[in-house]
Amino acid sequence: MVAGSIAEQFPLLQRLNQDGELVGDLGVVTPSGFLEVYRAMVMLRRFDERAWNLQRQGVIGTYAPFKGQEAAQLGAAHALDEADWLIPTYRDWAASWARGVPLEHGLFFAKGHPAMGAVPEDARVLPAQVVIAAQTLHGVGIAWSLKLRREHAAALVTFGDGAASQGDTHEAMNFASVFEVPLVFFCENNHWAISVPLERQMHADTIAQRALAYGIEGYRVDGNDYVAVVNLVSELMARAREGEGPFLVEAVTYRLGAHTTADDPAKYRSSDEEQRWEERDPIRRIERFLMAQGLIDEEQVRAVQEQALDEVEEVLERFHRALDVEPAVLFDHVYAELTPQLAAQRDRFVARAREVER
Amino acid sequence: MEWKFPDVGEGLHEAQVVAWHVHEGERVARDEPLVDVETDKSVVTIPAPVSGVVEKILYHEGDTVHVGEVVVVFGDGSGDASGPVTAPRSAPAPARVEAAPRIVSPEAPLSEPRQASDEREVVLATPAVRRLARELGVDLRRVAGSGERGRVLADDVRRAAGAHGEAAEPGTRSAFVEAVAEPVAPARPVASADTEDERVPLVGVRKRIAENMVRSWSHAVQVTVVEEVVADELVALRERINAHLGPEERISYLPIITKAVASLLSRFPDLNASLDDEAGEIVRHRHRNIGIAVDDPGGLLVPVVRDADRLSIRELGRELARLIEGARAHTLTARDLTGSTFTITNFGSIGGLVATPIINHPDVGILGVGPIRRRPVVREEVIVPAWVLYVSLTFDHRVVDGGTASRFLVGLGELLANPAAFIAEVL
Amino acid sequence: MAKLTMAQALNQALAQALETDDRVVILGEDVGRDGGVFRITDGLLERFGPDRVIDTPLAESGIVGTSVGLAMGGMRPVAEIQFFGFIYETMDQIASQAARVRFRSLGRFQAPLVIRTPYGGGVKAPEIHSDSLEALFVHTPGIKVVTPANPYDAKGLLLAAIDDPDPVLFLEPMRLYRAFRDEVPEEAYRVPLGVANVVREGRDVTLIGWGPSMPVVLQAADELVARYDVSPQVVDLRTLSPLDEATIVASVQRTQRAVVVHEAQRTGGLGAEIAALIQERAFLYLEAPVQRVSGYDTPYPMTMFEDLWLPDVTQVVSAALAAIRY
Repeated sequence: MVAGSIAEQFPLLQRLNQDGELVGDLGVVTPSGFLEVYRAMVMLRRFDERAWNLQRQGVIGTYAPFKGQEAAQLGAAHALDEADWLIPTYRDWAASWARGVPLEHGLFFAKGHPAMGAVPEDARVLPAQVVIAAQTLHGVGIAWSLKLRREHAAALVTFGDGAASQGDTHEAMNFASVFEVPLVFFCENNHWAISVPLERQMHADTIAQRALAYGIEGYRVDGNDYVAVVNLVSELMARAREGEGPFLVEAVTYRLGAHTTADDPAKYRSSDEEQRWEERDPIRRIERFLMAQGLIDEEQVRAVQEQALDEVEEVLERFHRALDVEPAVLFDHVYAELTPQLAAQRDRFVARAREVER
Repeated sequence: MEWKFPDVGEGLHEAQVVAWHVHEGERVARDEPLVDVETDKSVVTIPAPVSGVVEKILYHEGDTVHVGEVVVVFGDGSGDASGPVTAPRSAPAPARVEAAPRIVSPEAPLSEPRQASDEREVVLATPAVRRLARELGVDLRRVAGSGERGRVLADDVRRAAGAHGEAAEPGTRSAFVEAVAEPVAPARPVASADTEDERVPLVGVRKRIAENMVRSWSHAVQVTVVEEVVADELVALRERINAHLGPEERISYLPIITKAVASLLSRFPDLNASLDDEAGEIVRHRHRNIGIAVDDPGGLLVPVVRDADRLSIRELGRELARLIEGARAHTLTARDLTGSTFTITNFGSIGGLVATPIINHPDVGILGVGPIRRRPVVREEVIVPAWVLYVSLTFDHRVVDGGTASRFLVGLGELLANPAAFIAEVL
Repeated sequence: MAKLTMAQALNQALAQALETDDRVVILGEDVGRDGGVFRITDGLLERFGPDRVIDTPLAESGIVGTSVGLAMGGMRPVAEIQFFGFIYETMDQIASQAARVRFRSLGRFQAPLVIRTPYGGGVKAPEIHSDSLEALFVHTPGIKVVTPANPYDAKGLLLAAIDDPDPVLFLEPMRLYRAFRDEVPEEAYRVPLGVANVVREGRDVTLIGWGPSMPVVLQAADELVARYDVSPQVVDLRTLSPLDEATIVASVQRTQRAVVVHEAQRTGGLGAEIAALIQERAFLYLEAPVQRVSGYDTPYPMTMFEDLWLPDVTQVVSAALAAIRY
């Protein structure tokens, strides 16, 4: 344990600064890989904006945008190996997508479509979690099962600064440390829990320093710096797979959008602050870097934008096709097998649904 | 394409239009800002749902728009085919979620009444019918049920109740009283060789009557007061009424007495009441439903004339005839047999000058009407013969005091003795 | 055949589960070194090691939430909540999480965990320790609720619960842990979930109970036979959710009278659901209203008055007679 102030013990790790200048090395990131990351982030940003519009247009219900957190989510997700697990919150559509959950699931979630939690078989991701911090305990359990089954794999659980206040998070970190499970606690500190700013969420200077309380390692990283995030988390995941976990990572980022479509940030925060964080935008800095490196030009930037819109259209198409779903599915996964009571109720429900349809 | 203000949940019902970003005739691309609206929470910008020409704007700045109302109409001409606002339902969907029920054990059909081989028969009947059977002293097992799966219905029970005992003989009565309270013939004891006592089980109708008596007796504190009514005028009145009504609708004294009683009860609400023991409340009934005790081999029935105070004497005559005939024929409905607020019992046809009738629980009063006979009365210090009627009022002394009861009888006497009083007070 | 107490039968079941299925892990407060505060997990740590029998930190939500994660990760956790009354700490992880894992993911994920917990009165336990909260969980879809009343059922039901692909709340009546012994087969057998047991045949009235009330119900049945010449049919529900409606209804169609007995408070207790079920499905057969003998609508009483508050033999007998004499 390093003695010294909190700031000294938990320095903000950064490799690519907000101007797009490399202040560390690329590490695990390759130039071509970085280009792909850039493309992905642009597409995800367009998706996020489109989802917002869809709510306004009445196509879907309440949606929680992840704008501004693309680097944190992709950086963490890309650090996972095939056998690793991701345990997300309800805002992690970018991370979940990177781990095999189609983006339309984010729309299903906002729409209230039964498939909203139907993660594809081959995706090692849990469904989005509505209850704040509940997933931290599930992350512990998943990681622990990997350990008990002697799988060479680890898990990463995401949660926000607000979730860090919940009792479950404390219990999870405590359990995880006692049983030394292969888990990375990845806190996306986006500075706001709806209208409550970080200063009111906690007294301590950082979330990373909680690691001290549990006797585990904690790290603080610039969450808008994809390079720093992916390098740090890759290293920690590798160590976790070797049994050195758990770890706590605080990715310092910012929620550029509202909490959800039902929220109006103008009520509680200044546009100055938003402006300052716009300048730290994760996508903008990558674009600057790639341009400076000659890896992309204006024309290609436009092409990337267009392709992003096309990809988002494809997501919309899949979403719309999936709307034709049988309501009776509500009864089929309450238990492994329908009980007699549920079978009778299901019949009534189906009959009623048909009546209403007519 | 008409665009309606969407229901996006979160309890949103309406919003105020703040500003349009487009005007009629202008072309707009999908997702471009269309209009700003203000909700409870904030001002939101709604992006255009489709690309096209804004043909008509239906709500303007300052207007309130409700969910479901058409806000703006878009025209085609842009040919934008991508991103439909609503998806066609006919296209097959790879992402379609199939509902696949896997039922483990279907419900065992429970359609047959269970019969235990060595045990009691199970009779299908609702609790209400079971109660009726109990009140009428009917054994459900002996009733043929006419409902589904042999279910015993209320009418089945009533029919069975009527089939008990012999049909009533309308024995000789005084011409003046039609409604008869005929005592039920006691079961003939079987002659025995020796002098042992006879034992007859208390069952059925007898048992029910006994239970009703006990219930009445054990609840109300019953006192009877008797009044003598000189009925010369009443007798004459009845003859003149019958001359008016004609032979088909001749009435007995009962309709007249019933009318007088029903009318008088409005001045004596405590006599038209019940005592709710549990709640500790005197329930003064709004309606004046007069029960008329009718004895019948099937049991003591009390058909009820509802709102007797509202019927004319002629109508009462008809209604009483219907009820009494129906009682004898067992065709009365529950409505005819329930709900009395006061009862009249006519014991006079057989004999007895005065009586102490027992209250029909849970009423607080019952009027016994005796025969109308020639008796000596005193008029102007001379004893003369006259038609005389004795009326006996039993009342529940918990609710009604003696003064009230006496005043009621005096009032009744006045009405019956003096047709002018009757016309003036009752009609 | 060995005669075991319920505590011993449960211990045996857990040992056999640990032995035959290496996905099974036991976790909870004091379950390892201490063998559990009621010694239900006695000796298991020594036999199976700390990877299988785990002493957790003091955190109910933590225990259940972690178990949900373990179950989703392919394990079969058997978590213990030290007393049923403490389950409120874990409500979210049970009702919002465990019960919905399958539903939320349309079957992609499942949460086959068992939560074992002692409950019930009659043991003069401190506040909160005796609460019967089963109605809250019967009301929660996606979770099953099971409660044995004798050693034989205890072992068979627990093994079945561990096998079940859905989350099961396994309620163990404290007062019956060591109250009597039953013959319990050595081999690992299962008593099916969702099936009630007609413990005694009869024809005059159906007595329905479960868990800690069963001895009271059976004693009342004895008294009805001996003193009142009444022949009661006794039903031990064993599984509260899903309810074995068929057995309940068939019994009442036969006897035409029913008494439901439970320790839990009257209002909103499971007796109300059973009464509604009976009147829906056996309306035409009923000779009397369904009687309920239950705890009063107060919080569980200070145990000085526990005996007055809980259903006792006299109350059950009276209820049965009231139904018969109706």
